[in-house]
Amino acid sequence: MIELKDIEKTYPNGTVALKKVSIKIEKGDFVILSGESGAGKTTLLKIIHGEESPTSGNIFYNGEDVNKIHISNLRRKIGFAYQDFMLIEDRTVVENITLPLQIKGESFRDLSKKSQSALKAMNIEDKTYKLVRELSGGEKQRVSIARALIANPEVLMLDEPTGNLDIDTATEVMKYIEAINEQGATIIMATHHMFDWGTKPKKIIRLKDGRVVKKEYV
Amino acid sequence: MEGWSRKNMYRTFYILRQTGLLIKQSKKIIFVTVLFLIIGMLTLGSTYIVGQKLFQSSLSLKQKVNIHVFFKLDTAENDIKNTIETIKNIYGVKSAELITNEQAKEEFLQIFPQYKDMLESLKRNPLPYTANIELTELTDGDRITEIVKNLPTIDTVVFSGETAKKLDNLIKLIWMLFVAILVVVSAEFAFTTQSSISFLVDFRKTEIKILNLIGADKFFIELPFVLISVLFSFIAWLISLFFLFKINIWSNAIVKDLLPFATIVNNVNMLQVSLGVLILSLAVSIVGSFGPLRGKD
Repeated sequence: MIELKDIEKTYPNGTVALKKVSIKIEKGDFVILSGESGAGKTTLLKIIHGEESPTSGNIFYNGEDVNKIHISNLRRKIGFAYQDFMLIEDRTVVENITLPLQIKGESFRDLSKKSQSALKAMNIEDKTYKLVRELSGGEKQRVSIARALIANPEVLMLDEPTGNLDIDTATEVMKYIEAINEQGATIIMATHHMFDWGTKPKKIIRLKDGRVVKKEYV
Repeated sequence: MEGWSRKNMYRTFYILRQTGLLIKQSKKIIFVTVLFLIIGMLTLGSTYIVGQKLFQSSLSLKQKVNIHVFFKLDTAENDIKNTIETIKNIYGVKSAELITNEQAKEEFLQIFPQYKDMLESLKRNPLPYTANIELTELTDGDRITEIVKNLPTIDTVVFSGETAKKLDNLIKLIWMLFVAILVVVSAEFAFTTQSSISFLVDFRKTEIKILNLIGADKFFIELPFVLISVLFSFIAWLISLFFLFKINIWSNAIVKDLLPFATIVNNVNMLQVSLGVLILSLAVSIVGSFGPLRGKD
């Protein structure tokens, strides 16, 4: 489904973020990118999402070179929950999470149904009409995840999704993400927290100093 | 096809909703932007109104610098009429008006009624036939004077070439200043409008970035800003329209002060002025909103 071949990324200031990274992700995989801060996890996610371009190497999405796919079409297929949330602070929770559906032109009924379902899944139904700026870090994180998954994307990418959550909420959120994966969505998650949850095997890709140092199923 | 239309219908609604939210969240910026647009429109509109009136009125001064022709006494009326026709056919003559000696006498007595008895006591009217020649271009005055002077029925020709030259220069100066100021004001207006829109786009740059990241197309991101620009221009135009009509009335006094001897020409087409300002502001706003948006991709 997603194939990265010999991806290298060097930032203009000379920092080398990724070195010859080659990964193949199949449809329905649950991939965990692990590694310490600065290992290159976020850069890798951003390259897949088309926010950063690799210095060299190729990325294929469903066999097609991503350079040939219109960026907005690619991004509509990939839901992304950001570490720094990327929410519109002066809009309500429901206005934020329904944006991907509005872009697609989904009906009012679908908007209402899907937003209720996503809010319920993230346990933030009582925050529906709250402004994002009034929420705590953990609540913002859940809004960000709700927005990423609301449009049933083919791929769901999460950057440190549990970073701002307490252990109980984090476990709940992870269970929900696994349920989405079981419904067929491909999950790529960057984290340095490893939890013991679920039953489905997960592909762990360990990054260190921009290199893939280990690939394993757990 | 039906599904596609339905999707677009919903998308249109959501775009309008985004526009509404954008307005709601940017009230202060909107106030400043509309204020700047009003100032720009008023500056542009009033420059055009005053400039146009000043120029048109300055043209009326031309009529006050004519060639005055005095016919020889005892010239036959028929010869005088033929001479008038000859003069009318000279290149550069706009019109030639004959004033008979009787008309001249009447005019004289209106100004100097105390000489009535003296004039009545004379056996014959001592005033000659005269003519007023209006010129198409003041610069042709000296050439036409020379031609008329040599006509056999003409006694004297009076024309102030120096005054004509000064007046012609004044009219040219007014025109050049009018055009130059209008260009500067138009450029300033375009810049202010564009800056105001850029300011709004910059204010919402995070939102634009987020929309880009979640897969919004350019249409979805840019249209609310373009709609807002159009709306701002329209609101500013409606407000400035009221003042522009007032300025049109007040400007007569300004022109009278600047050109005291001119006949004030009040023929500015306000419909043209208002539509011109509206079209220019809409064009600048729409084009102006694209530039900064493209920079936020």
